[in-house]
Amino acid sequence: MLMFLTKRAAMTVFVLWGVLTVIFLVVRVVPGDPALTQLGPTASEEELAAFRARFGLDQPLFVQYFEFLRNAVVFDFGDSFRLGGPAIDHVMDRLPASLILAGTAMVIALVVSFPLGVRAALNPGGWADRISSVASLTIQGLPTFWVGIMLILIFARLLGWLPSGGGGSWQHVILPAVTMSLPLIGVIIRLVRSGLLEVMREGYIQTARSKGIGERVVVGVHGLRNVLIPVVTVLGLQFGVLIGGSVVVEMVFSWPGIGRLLIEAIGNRDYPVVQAAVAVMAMVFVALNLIVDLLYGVLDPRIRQGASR
Amino acid sequence: MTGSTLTTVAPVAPALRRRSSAPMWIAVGVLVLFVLAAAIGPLLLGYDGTKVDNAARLLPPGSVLSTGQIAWLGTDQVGRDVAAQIMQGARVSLIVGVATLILAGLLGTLIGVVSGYYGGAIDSIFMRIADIQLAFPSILLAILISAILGPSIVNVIIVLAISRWVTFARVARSATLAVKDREFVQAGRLLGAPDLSLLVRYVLPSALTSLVVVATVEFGLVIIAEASLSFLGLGTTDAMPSWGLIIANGRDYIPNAWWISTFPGIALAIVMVAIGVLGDRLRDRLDPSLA
Repeated sequence: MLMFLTKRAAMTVFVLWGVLTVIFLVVRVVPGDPALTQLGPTASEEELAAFRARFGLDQPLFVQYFEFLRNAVVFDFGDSFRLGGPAIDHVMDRLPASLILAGTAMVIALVVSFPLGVRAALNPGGWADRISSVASLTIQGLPTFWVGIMLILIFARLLGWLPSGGGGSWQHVILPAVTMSLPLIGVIIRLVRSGLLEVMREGYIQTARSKGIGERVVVGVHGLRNVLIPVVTVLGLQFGVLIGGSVVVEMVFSWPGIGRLLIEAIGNRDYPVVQAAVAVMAMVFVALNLIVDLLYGVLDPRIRQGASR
Repeated sequence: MTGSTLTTVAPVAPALRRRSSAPMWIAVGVLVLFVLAAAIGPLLLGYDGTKVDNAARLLPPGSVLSTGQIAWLGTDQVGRDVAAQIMQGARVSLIVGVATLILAGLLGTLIGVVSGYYGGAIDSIFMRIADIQLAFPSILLAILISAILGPSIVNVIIVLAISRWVTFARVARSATLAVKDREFVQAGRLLGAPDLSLLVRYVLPSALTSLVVVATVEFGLVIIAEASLSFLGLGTTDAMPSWGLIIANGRDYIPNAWWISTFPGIALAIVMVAIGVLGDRLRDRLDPSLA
């Protein structure tokens, strides 16, 4: 288990380093002079030089790179060009809103798809199976931003039940969270269904049945517990999709999260904020995947003990 | 037309112990219509991205325009026909999808085959890069790069190719690993065939089926990614509107002109579902191991 953890931790550090490097490369090395893009073509040569000196842009690239890495370790991405103050502060202000939205979407997805997936697996070809196979295929094809707009059209404009955008109350969370949960629902239903179908053929399920344990307990305890591992794996990966999707959904619903901050910062060419936002999103994603790896140990004793395998 | 012919022919095909092939042929029909719409739609309906016709602003679906044409899907905020815009958008989606697939497919396949064949340091470097990219939401990478490059159709293609080569590389690499020590490759090597010809003639063909399946799935992902980028204002521009951009433009008019955003989204959804069905069936038929 210790080996396993060390390896995972090393991988996490490696991935974070890679992400930071990509961010650095993309922002500093692609064509275009950052000083020129910030100050505009009317800036004098002195102004440009002053700007480069201030942000260390006159240093050799590898010096800039190490400076960037060193600062990134302590979450220092420089001051925002537009909003004033450290870029990271603006990102951290928005982080809770984004996490609330993603978390709610995840909960909705689990609550809807687990029962459907179980029903579909226990009765292949039945109504739940057919509904979920059609639904999971269709839902996954729907572009989230369009679904969001349609939900606004129906529930905010036509029915007037929920606010169309913004943040502040629990009603504001519902539409964006539902929008974000839809692609997940299709994925989880299919996973639970195929996982459970496979598990129910295992010997220990027969053993449990032969002991006279009720079918509910057989499915709920002996069956579902073993389905959790693939589900948790995919959920970890899906969080990346969720974070990516959150940018779009936050824009549709004017949700005050990191995604919207990122797009606004891009519009303002506020690169410190862009860097900080992308770095924080990547860190959240990597951290979640690490947690998922740790959960394996909890869910599956074989991984806990058999790490030396 | 093509779509309906295909669907009526389909059930005749033998369906022994297989799922019905009808959905697959419907999906193919839809995609054929999509390609036709992209190819000749703009010629039929005509589309001028810069045209402004104030008399025809925000007309509901079915309205008759001053030119006598009927705007079956309504008009937008500057009087452009939504149906014509959708045809134009289909063209953009198709161009971006195909170009990205070619670019990402070539890049990924090249990296994958070379990594798998030579192994060693090259392999480690590329596969670690792939790991990093997989650990990072690809849409974020696309947003980051297009933010710097600025919106344009060429940039979108570059950005999406960079963010999508990994899957191709992985599939090509594992296919290469599977065959590179098989007898027919070794025989070729013993006979003195250069590496390049070994790769092209023996290794690549064995990876092809898997790559076709991957390409189908990726095609859908690319189209959605392009639409999302355009929706965020980081993709195509008004001169060449994609479905994402039309949906974004219509968003502000949702209260009084629901049709602007609704119809391109429906078009996008139909194409996506068709691609999903096709990818699913192709995988079952060609390469169940990818499931």
